[in-house]
Amino acid sequence: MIGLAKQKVPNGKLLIVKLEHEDGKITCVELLGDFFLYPEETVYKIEGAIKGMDVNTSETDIISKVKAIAEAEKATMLGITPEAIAQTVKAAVKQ
Amino acid sequence: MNWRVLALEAHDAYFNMAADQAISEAVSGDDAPATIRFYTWKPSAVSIGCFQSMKDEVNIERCRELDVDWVRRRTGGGAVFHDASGELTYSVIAKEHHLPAGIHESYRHISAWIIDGLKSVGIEATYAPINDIVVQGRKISGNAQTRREGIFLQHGTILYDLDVMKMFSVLKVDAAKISDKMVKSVEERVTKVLNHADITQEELYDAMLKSFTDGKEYSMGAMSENELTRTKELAETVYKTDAWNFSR
Repeated sequence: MIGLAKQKVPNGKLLIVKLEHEDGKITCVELLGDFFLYPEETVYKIEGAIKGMDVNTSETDIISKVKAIAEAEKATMLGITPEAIAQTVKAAVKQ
Repeated sequence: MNWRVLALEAHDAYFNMAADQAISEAVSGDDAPATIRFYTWKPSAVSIGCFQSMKDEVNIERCRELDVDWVRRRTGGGAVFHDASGELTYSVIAKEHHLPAGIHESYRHISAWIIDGLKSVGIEATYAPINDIVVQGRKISGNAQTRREGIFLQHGTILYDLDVMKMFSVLKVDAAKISDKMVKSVEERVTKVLNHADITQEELYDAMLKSFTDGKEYSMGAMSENELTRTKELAETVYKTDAWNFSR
């Protein structure tokens, strides 16, 4: 199954999540958009953490995971938030 | 600190993006001073942010027809159409500690140079976080920055003469959506120097050169042989490749 969801983050940038899931697991995911994320490579770590997640993972758990990665990488997000990422992932899964 | 200033030059998209990286590497290795660079894009090009999808954002077929290049930047932000005669681009490359530490503060800091330059040609502009400069609420300049290995890079454009229809033809917008209403909508959100000041592109460059260097010690300079060699290498092995440009 392929999912796609977009969100113009309030006071922020456009976030697009493209993903595929099979047998209840997210098998690949891309976070796309005109946002800023420093260091940029953090996006691969976030995508890597979402990949393999159960499609029923709660928004709260996704937020916690993204926040933990951002903290570990000392990352700064501009125009997106962990909450927006979680919401958009859930929206993409539901498609 | 003595800044090196690279005078306005026109290059293709691959050279332009490779030069920003090569200069960043040279500054990181203490082989080059902090650098302010001005350039235009010849041929015209579309650049996309590092988190965007080339296939989703750019009409590659139309670019081929119009001899427009396409390239992925190292910086975030959105897709930009760089018309060869429609804008001025700059880069500021320095060690991070030479610029304000905070991301918003550093955007604001360099935006002030652009705002001062616009003011000197009679245009009142303001900084619009995160990364824009606006005139009466309409965007006239977009900017993007990255910080890697202790090096700060910010590049951005100042719109001189935007051709909205040409922009739509190379950016991936459904043909059905390119209606008069949509063009009007873009023109309501975006403006250009020529809407506010009757000056040439060269006069805009002169104004920016003055405002970017105001109060700084600086010398007009050139890229070193090593920087040029590295630029050509990066252009061929990274910025011209599908592996880089279509990586997302």
